[in-house]
Amino acid sequence: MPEVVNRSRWLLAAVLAGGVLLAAALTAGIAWRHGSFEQTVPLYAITEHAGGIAAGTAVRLSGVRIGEVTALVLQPDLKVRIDMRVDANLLPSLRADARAQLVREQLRPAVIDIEPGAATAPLNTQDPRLSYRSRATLTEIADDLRSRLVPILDDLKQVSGTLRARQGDIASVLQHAANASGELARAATEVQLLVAGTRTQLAGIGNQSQGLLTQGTAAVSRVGGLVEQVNASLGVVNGALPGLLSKADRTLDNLQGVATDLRQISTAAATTLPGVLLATPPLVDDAQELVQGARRSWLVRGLLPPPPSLELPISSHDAAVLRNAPPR
Amino acid sequence: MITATTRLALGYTSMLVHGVMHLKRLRDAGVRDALARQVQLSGVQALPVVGLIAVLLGAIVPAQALALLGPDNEVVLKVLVWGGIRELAPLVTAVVLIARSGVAIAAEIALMHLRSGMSDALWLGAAHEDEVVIPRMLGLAASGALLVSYFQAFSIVSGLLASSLLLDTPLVAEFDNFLSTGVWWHVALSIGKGAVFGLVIGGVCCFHGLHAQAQVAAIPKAAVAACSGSLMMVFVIDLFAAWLRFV
Repeated sequence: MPEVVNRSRWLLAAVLAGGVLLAAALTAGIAWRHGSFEQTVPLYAITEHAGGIAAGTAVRLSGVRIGEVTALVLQPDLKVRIDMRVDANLLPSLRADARAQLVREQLRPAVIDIEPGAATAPLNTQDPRLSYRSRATLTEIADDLRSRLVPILDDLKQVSGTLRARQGDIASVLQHAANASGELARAATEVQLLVAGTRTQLAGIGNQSQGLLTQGTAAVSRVGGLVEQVNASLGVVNGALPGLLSKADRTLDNLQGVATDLRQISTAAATTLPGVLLATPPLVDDAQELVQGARRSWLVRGLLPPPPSLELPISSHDAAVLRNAPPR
Repeated sequence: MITATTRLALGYTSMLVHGVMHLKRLRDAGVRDALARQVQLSGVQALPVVGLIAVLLGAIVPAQALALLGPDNEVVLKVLVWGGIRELAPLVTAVVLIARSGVAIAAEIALMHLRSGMSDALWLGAAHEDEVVIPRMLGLAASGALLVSYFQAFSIVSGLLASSLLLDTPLVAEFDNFLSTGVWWHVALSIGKGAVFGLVIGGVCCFHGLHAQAQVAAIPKAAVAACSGSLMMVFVIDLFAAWLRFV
């Protein structure tokens, strides 16, 4: 029995301690989250009307809670001073033109939203006053909207009245518009017919163009065949040309040797046998005839340039001409 | 009607004042034992019931708030703070105390009155009355505060889980938002209300038990009167607290 009593007492003590701990933890957690264990600094703002604000109203910066309203104090001039406490670490971020405004959205509780400002000077820590701007209520927004809409509605009324007065003119304009639309419809029909004819003609031209293209393709094919034949002929010529050129070179060498011999013979004859020279021209004529005959019958006469015309006919029997003949 | 109500109010008040004025009786070990037993009966043993109700209520409140107001996390948390901490915790705990302990206390004292055969003069003697009344009043007050503390914890955890699941938000973020939305002194105020409710329930139930006639039929009458009187007093005090808030 005493064990049961002791167990009950221990259980009772544990449950009581658990309850106290839970309550303390919850209280401390909420207090910590609200910055109760952080260093805070006071701020204040002056407003004409503090409706919607109460002690405990959240103060936010950039949407993040940084503090709360601590008190509302009615001033002698019937304005309201809103005392706030915010996180001290954020005070340097607030500039001299920092502003506070009340934000109320739907069913959400009101919050005071601080705009940090953009002035170069920081907020005065000796007199940390924020300018206050209250957001318009729904009634004020509705009134503003009504004041904006009324002139527009008046203008609409005048326009509709003018239109009513001009109803006859509008009817004639509509009649003209109907006529114009009928003419446009007819023009459209004609354009359609024209387009159909053009389409038919384009189809014929297309067929003709296709035939021409077929013929052109065949001609190109034939030209290709000819080109291939020319290429084959040129290949044959290229193969035979080196042999012919070597033969021509050898023949010219032989002829040059003959001419040299003849020149030596004639020179010797001129010095030793002047009388014999008188009998030389007929020999020269014979030799020349032999050469000419060889040239005319030689295979390479077409490969050599034609001989230059002599200033004196070979029948003049002038030996100087033969000695000073231009190179062939 | 007015006379009866006035008499009851005076009786309740005199009982409460008498109990508070004789707190020195706690020096007596017997009274302390009776107090511990009362806390055990009406506090520790009621914990499972109160915990279950808190969990269910904590889950229902965000669901109903979301259904009524749409997916607004801040409103849900506000409702949770209002329901879980400030209002529902003391009220539900008081109802549980009345149903579980208050009626039993009234019936017990009435039965003691009936079986002891003691005269009214003896019952009205300070010693006996204090030994009966003070442990029960203070026991219910301590139980009320204890149960409110647990009710808050259970309902808040359950509510945050429910809102996290319904809104598909991280539980840690929900908890952080809840801490931002809550007010620290609401916790203490709620626990204080729970203690006051328990004290009043104890006083009312003791009053009806002590003033029951020495008849068997008087026992259920005393229980019914204790129940209705306690409920009425709880709501009157709650209304008074709400009125104080707006003054």
